[in-house]
Amino acid sequence: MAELAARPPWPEGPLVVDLDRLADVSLDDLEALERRGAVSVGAVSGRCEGPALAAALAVDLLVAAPGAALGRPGEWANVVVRRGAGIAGRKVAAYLALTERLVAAEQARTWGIVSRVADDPLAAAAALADEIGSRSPRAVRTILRQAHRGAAADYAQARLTGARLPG
Amino acid sequence: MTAGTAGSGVRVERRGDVLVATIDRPHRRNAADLDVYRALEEAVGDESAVACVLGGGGADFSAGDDVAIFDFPDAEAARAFVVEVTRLFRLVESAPRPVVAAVDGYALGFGFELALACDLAVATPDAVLGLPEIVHGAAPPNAIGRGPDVLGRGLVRELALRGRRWLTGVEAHRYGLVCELHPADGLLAAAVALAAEAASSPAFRSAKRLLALDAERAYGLAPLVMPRLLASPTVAASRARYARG
Repeated sequence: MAELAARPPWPEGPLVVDLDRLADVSLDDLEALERRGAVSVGAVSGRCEGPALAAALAVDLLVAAPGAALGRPGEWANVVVRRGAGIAGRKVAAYLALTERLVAAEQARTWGIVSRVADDPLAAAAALADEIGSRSPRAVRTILRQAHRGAAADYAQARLTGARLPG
Repeated sequence: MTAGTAGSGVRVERRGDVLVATIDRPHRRNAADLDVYRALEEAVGDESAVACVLGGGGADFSAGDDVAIFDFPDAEAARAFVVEVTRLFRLVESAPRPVVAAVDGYALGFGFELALACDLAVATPDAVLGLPEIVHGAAPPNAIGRGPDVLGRGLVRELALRGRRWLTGVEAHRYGLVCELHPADGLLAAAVALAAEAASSPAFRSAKRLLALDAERAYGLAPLVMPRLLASPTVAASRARYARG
């Protein structure tokens, strides 16, 4: 069964990250989230802003409630630009990073940021994490390693580009 | 509000601190020539503005390069032309202020590539975006270089190879090339508001640098591949057809 976490350190094994209650994360913690060898599924039901938005782009899959809304990275804009571009494209990443506008869950799904819209995101995220957790751990690890290729360079760029970033 | 650059095919005006440059050659569906590129470069480089919006006068954004001007005595002349176009795209991506495209009607070829180079693009739902170069025996190297990290490699390949597979504004929004849809009568105001908002973001400068990290390499392609292609008989035939109207 997947474990539930809202703050680091991240447990090993299949993981659900409760983005509505996310606390105490740094850039290093997000990079560590991307480097874990087991699946992580984010769940969000309200506003996904600042560090929660950056974390939403670091997890492997994201489940959102129909009323969830994503945007406003604040001081996390640099990492949202770099990691967001690889998920939703350069222009959507710019839109998220440079404006105060919030993107609705369904729109975020068409842009590839949200994998599933569900009324109970935590339950749906747990089901997804369990499903993937039932597969060969070695296969999952291989896929994740490739899927997160470029993460280290993106986090390094985000740190280098002179923003006042935590972590 | 000030207007300027008469005769260049581009109208320039101010909306508050935002500069609006409108390609204004409706008789050619806002197809661009060298004067247009240079006037747009000037507009994008205007340091007195906090942001720049690029739009089209009349019904279209831009239907492409004006094929009628593809009359190059040799590959060197064609190369000079290609360098000028990529200079504009490089400027858009490196300008230390937001550049936002307001796309209505046709955004084909050059128009597509210009919208792609901008930091953000808004469009009307029935705008038409495509890469018809191949139909004229040419190619869209800047879209091939800069399109994949917006639309994905597969879709860019399809648009470039088929030429007649065009996206509506609604599709371009779904694929992330366009970030907001607006009706035609509110499009420019929405673009100006978005540009001003992006300009006021404390993250703007660092974010823009990060967004443009891969741009230089992408734009290096066009001057290498395009001159010989533009001097080819197929492009000449297409030019003759368009010159006749």
